[in-house]
Amino acid sequence: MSLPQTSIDVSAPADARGRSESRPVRGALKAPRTGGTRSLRRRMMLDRAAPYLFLAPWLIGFFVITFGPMLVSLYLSFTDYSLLSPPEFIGFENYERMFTADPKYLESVRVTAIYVFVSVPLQLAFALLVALALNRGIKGLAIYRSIYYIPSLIGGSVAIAILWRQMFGQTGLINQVLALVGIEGQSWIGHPDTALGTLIVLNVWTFGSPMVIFLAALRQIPVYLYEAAAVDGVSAWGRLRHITLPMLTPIVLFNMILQLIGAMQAFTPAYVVSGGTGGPANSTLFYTLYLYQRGFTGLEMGYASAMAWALLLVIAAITGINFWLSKYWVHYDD
Amino acid sequence: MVQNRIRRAALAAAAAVAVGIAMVGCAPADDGQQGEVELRFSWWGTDSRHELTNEALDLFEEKNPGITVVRDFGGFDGYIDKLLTQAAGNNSPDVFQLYEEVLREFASRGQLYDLNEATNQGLSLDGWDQGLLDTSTIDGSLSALQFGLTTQSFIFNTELFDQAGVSIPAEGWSWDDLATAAKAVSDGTDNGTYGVTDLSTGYQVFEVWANQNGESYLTDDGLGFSAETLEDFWQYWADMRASGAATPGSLTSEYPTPFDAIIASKAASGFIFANQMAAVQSSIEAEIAAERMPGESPQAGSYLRTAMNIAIGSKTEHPEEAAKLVDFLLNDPEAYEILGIDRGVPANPAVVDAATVDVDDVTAKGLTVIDGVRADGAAPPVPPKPGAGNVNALFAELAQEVQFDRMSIEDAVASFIERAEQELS
Amino acid sequence: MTTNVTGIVGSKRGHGRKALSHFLIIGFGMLMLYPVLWMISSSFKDTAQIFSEVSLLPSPVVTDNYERGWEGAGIGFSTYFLNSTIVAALAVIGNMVACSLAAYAFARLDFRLRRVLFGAMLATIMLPYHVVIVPQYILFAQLDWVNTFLPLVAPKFLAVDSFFIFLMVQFMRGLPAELDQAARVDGAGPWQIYWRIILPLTIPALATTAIFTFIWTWNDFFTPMIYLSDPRLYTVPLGLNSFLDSTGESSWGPMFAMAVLSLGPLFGFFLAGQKYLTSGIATTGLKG
Repeated sequence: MSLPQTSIDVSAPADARGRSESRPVRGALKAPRTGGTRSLRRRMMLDRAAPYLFLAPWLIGFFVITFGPMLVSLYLSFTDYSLLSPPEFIGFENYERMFTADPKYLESVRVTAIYVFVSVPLQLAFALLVALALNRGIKGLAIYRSIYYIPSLIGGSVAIAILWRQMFGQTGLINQVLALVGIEGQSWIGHPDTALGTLIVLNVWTFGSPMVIFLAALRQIPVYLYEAAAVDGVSAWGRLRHITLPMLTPIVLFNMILQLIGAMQAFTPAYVVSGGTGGPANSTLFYTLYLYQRGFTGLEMGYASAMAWALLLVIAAITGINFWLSKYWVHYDD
Repeated sequence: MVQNRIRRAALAAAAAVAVGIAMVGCAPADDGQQGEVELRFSWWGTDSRHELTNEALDLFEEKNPGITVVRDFGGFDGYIDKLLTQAAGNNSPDVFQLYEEVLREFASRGQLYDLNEATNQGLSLDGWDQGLLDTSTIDGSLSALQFGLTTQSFIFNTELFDQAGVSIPAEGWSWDDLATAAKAVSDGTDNGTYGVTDLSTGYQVFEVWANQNGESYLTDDGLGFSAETLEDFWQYWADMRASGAATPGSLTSEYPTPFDAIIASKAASGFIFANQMAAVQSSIEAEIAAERMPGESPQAGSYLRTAMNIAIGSKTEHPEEAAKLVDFLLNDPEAYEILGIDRGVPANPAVVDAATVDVDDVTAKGLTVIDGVRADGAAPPVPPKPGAGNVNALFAELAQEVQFDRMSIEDAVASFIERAEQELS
Repeated sequence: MTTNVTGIVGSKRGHGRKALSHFLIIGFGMLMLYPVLWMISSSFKDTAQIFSEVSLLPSPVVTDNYERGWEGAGIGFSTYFLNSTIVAALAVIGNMVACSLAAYAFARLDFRLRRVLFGAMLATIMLPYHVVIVPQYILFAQLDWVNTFLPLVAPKFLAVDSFFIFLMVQFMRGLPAELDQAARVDGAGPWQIYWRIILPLTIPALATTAIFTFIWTWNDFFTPMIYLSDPRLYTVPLGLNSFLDSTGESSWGPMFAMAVLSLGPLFGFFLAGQKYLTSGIATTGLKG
């Protein structure tokens, strides 16, 4: 890849750039007015300050809106706090109770783990498959993409959760369809053995978000790679394996990490479908749902904060492991 | 050129942001005009309650020209979250609805204004039953007042009962009567329709059962019942499920409340609070009949229950105006001509007539039940202790373990008692 | 516009296969859409019929729900829609600006604290919001921002949604470093590289940010519920929620009607933003 002809001397006049042959990007750079070493020093100072200037909004937001409250919640996790009166310090009691004297807590961990490690891979697989299928230059791509995205628009809403309860009920749509092929269905949403399954299906149904991201990434894969492969006579499957998938790996990592984090924090589906109970028999008791029950319904905000910090540590660990493993399979271009 | 497009977009965005910030900063002012007092009043309810309440509040504003009421209403879900977060931020409403289960928590932490003080500021307690006032008096302070009374009752889908050729049980009926009638209805109707909703997960039903056995559900010292009583209760319902009289576990779980299953015509009868009957009738075509709880003799178990409370926030800046608002909402017959019995029967006997001026059949039945319980019902319990919310949730969970045969009744009862006592200590 | 080469090979053979794949995609799509169709059909049914009649075709067709729903217990959905639009639009602008600035710093600039701050940024994605909500509420209450849109919108301008910073970082890292180097040799400073090179090439990520921010903000229920107590400021989800009440009778019909209407702006925004998702980089200039 050749660079445009240019000179290193930054004080050269404006028009001595070799940019007549190719424009690397549309909207070519206008030559900056440079005036010698004084502005060079100024620019070097600006260069060093630049990152922090760019980060300024984020830094403010981070310290004031995120980090500060995070610290407060860490403190609260060592207290007994009912929201209605000031917090009372109680040391590690919350953490002790969580792990040793609260069977419901362990149950919520189990339920959430199943949900996360089953629904996320399924959802990503669907998202990738559909994105690949839609990327084949099919006419009406925009329409299809929209159709597949619609579930994600309303996936978290109350209306859909109600519908889900309906569809998977004893006399719901799913059983009616099964009856057509002669299978007698049970109440999927009412039975503890299958209720969680319906929520997994709900999460997979909303694969639109990662799908859209995959599609955008697929569109960014440089065409010349495919053209070169076609010239070399590589098969479609080979192109998939050796070009598409490797180029997608940063986005796969991205989607995977974010869907894992999202699933570990999932709240609304379980809340609405189970009516806030996590039932039947705690089979849909997501971790954050239990956290919410303890904090707001049970007025034990200190305990809820401890639960939140435990969750944060687990999420951090899982994400860290993923990042560490990523160097073995993710391929960056820079 | 992309560059120009971006630049134009950025300028448009900057303009929008400027406008947005101007609008965003404009919050409704706290005290609008000179001398005008703004009160914030929070309540939960359905659409119809919102309409009625807004109308009543308009009337209040007419009668009290210096006071504006900012209305904060929504559904029941999330109501308490908002209230708690506002309390934590020192931003509680001036007047708000509060349900019985959290009354103690709020009162014992100084969040509620002593309404005895308010009697010098415009709130009248004339005609109020002393017993009711006593139950709301916590740590010597009158923490709230009943915003509506209701009681436990049973409703029946007359159409389904007719279909099965079973007559609606009459007053004085027993739990055995329920078992027989429900089984007959299950047998006499389509597959998938049952005589009664499985009520084993309802702590509110168990409360009545315990009272009928001379015990109680929760007391100031913790659990007020014996293991045998709970075992009998869950065994009764296990038998009902086995005989097909009551809905199976997975069907019951599909409906958040017993009466939802009735609305869906999956069950022909079930438990309900008397003030909710009208809502059921309007959601179903078949005629609904109502009766008092079964097993009320020899010892009555149902009692006159606070449907919800109304309280004044302890940090209100306008206690006098708040007292006037509470007085209007509790004692003014004109208010009740509008509000009706949407929140239950008014606690102040003087306004009951105004509230019940135009009731439909189902509501009238509910009122009959309430009158009956008022006459000879059990004594109301004290407001639940902190931790009661967790205990109630635990009750439903362990009942479900029994429903799905995941735990034996003895184990479930033992587990419940152990963990519940932990929660309450 | 990139065209995918895989279609070139064997196009004559592929007609039958193409028809089949169209059919499969449409079929699967219908399956995906069924719940939405059910919701739309419910909005035309009487509340009592919604759960008893399972068919997709309402009989009789009822338009009452839309009228009743629009009036929404006094304040009315015209206000709710306006409020939601304001909040969502501001959130979109905030996120696009603040997150792209931060992402550029993380992806393209080198500074000592980069690793640490990047880790901190990632950590914030992992924090369950239910817990910081109380300390945040106390903070905003002290700033006297409660009962305004500020707590919903200001954090976006401070890049609190780290998800999008992460997204843009990943996209920016996919852009060849030579672009920056070339520009730097030409004498461009970091701002110019950001504004003139990186940002135009990150349009798919910006579009994704805009779309997701709009949708998530529009559908957000918990945060507006906590901060907005005056119903005149309510957003659409709060309006929808006032139709439901688990302790009494829920007005399902009007709720579904308004939920269907609320899909309109969401879908519209998505459609409008879609074409930016696919504008890839003009790669011809990168060839040797």
